[in-house]
Amino acid sequence: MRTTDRVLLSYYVSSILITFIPLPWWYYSVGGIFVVYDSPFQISVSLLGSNLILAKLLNLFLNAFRVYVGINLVYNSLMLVRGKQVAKYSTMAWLPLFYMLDPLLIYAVFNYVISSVTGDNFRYPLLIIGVEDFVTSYNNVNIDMLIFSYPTLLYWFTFIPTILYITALITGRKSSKS
Amino acid sequence: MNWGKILGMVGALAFILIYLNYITLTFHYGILQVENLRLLKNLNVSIVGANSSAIIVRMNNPLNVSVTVCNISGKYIVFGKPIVIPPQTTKNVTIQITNYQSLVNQIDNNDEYILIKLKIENTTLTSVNLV
Repeated sequence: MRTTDRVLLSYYVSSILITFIPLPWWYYSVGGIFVVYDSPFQISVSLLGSNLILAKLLNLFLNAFRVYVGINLVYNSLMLVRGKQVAKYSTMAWLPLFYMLDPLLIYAVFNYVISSVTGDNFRYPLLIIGVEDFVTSYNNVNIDMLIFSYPTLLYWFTFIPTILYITALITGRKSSKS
Repeated sequence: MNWGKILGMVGALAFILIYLNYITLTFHYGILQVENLRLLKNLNVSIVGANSSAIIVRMNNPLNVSVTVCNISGKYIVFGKPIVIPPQTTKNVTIQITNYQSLVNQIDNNDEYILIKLKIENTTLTSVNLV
């Protein structure tokens, strides 16, 4: 087995591990009223302390995606071990990077969709990681919300497959040149 | 399209089919829950007792999170320590009146404003209302 294949195999194995850890990658809270824990493979949303059942439905489809990605990874790693590799399966390498879009999506929804309903004085902060104070008013009530957006510990571990995949690409390019 | 992707699709579809019964049931309850959330009012407030020195207000918290009443105050109204109303409970809140006659006059003149400050988790709601 070549070095590139070894790195690629370790990419697949670490990806399989991360895919099947049933923990969220990201935590997002709007004033503690709207709380989201999610990963590409699962989601839980709670509104005023009660879990949204419709989010459980979405959770089911995300888990189906988990099964899809998992089977692909197992298949590709088996093919690699047998030496019959067709194409690299790169999904797990770009998922954590793609995940930065999640807060941007929430920002777009809150700032453009909800502001069209509530009126002009609605300026939602753009926040990727951190805490932000958000003040607005609605029907003579002044609302002050603390917005939290944090990756969980697992999120940082999801970059391990990304790094391994990039390493595999680089070493593969070098060995093909020589 | 390679065999990995085809097998993955089959696996994912099988996974969804296993839970097919669950999907229809969950969808039903999900819609029901959203409708209930719309019906839900923040706090049910009713006055239980009042005399010239205090007003007793009963507050019912229908939410699954606790609500803190930080402040209820006006020119002749005083509120003591913040009161925490745990989820799905009712509590009586006493509001002291410092000067009854002045308060009545203020209300008659449409000049009595009450500041109400509530805290739910990390959200603070403040409103100034004319009585």
